[in-house]
Amino acid sequence: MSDYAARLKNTIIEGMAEETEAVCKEALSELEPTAIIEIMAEAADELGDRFQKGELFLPELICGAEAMNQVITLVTPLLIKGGGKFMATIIIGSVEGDIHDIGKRIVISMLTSAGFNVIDLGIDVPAKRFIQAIEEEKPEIVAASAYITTTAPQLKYLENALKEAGLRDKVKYLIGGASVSNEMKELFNADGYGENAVEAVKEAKRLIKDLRGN
Amino acid sequence: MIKNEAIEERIDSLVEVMQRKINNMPMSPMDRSAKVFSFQEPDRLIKGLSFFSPKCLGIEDITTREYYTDIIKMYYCQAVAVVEWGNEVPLMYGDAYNIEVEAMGGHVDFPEHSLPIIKEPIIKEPADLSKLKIPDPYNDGRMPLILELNRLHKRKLGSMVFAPTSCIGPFSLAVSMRGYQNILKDMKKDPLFVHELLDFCCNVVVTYGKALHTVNSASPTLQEAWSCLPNVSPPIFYEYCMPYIARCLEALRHPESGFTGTLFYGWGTSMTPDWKAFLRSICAMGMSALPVTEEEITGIKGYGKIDLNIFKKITAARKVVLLSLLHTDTMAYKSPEHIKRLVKEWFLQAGQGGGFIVSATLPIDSPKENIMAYLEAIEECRYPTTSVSEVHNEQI
Repeated sequence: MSDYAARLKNTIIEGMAEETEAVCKEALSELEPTAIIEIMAEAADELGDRFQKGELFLPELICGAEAMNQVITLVTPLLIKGGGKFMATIIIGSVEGDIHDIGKRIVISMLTSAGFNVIDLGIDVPAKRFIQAIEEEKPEIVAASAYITTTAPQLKYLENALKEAGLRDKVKYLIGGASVSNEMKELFNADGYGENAVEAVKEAKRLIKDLRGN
Repeated sequence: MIKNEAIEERIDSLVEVMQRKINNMPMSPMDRSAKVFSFQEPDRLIKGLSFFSPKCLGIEDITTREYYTDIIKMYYCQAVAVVEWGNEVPLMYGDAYNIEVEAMGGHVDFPEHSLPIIKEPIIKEPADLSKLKIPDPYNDGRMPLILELNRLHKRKLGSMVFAPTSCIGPFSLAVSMRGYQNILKDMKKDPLFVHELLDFCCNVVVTYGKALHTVNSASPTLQEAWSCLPNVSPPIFYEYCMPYIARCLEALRHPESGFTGTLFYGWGTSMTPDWKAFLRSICAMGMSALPVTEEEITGIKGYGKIDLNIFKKITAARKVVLLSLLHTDTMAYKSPEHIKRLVKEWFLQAGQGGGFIVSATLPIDSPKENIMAYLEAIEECRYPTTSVSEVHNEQI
């Protein structure tokens, strides 16, 4: 691994956003944007693994995600300019009444590092806003999160709204968040459920595979 | 909108019904609670039903907003839960995570199908802290309403049913004021500011908590979901949560009862390499009661699995009452048989010697048969635990 790669990976894992931005700028003089995304993906995998093993907690993931966002901001325009293609587009948001975006931010960073084009609708997103964004952006996946138990039923309301808008067959529906369980996947008629950020990325990849039949 | 005069009449009718019921009870809810908190075995487990909206109880003529902003209506819903559903732990507080921030100028939204929320942190820059003052519990925001709610309980069902009140804990208040991501950044860039903020939060909590002492015979429950793992890591917990929570608990020790209140929520003990040691650290903060969630008892939702029997032994050794909490998914989506089995299993594992409660929080879509299953299971969890053990084994 080059010096830049090691430094970049280290600053992401340590959650040092400003340092990550500085190293990324330097690294771009030597490395291709795609190589930088690969380094970020390695860092994301390590953060995810250590979280699942109980070695890291949410604060470390959040700071790591913040650092990854610095890379994404710098590298994504270069990727697009260079004709790089995303694996698929995902629209993501916290459901209406839910103002939590901790987990969502981590998921966005990890999905981006895995090659997805992620459009974040933010927090407290009404179903009609999801519908509008799907009609405009034509994503392959719509992902919705509910952090508190009282907002989990909104995931069902969103699924109903997708049906009513005639969009249910056109997008895969991925759900997640602290208040969501695997049982809700069936109950809310979702196509996928991510128990955490790492699982959400795996589920998104699986849904794309299903969609393309490979 | 239904008028409060009509609601007050309904409350008075419920009080009369409750008085008649109490006369036919072998043990009153108040006596049962007293036994549990003094680590004696009552006749059976306590029924603890909490809810966030009148709709959870099927009350359709009161909106969620009215419930949180009109104490007559809030008290009526709590009284319905007691008299008609058998709840023995009505809650004398509203949206406990918002009251203090609202009293300092935060704007609260009241969505119909969810808990009230504050969307914008009131401290956008560290310098904003110096512009804030400790709220006056008798004048600011909805604090006076919550005090009045507790007085109302004292006048109505107060002699029959124990009803805890609550305020937010210091770390969770800091997160509500500053925002979670911001406070994580502050810990890296300006840890001194975080400590100054937490010191301010302690003063807010203690000022409001002491006002609550004047209207409730128990110390307030401290709501501290943000200081639980995995929201914080153990190093953050030890530096930024534990000392401040302990300070508030001690300052709010009730002058008459000597109790310090419950420290809510699930603590993520199972996520640490040595959960027993971490639990002992938590208990050392000095609370009188502590929850353990279904996630940690059964090892679901990414949590590890603790041994409930050992967990109870550790808390009981510190005279900390253990509240085991059924998950809202269980109440909404599992079968009545599943709920009954969980309640009885937990009672058998941790009920012995008192100091133990199994509580349920109702989401809006809880089927009535699931609520009934919980209530029936509690009725069947009678002391001594061996009597249930025999029945339970036969059923298995």
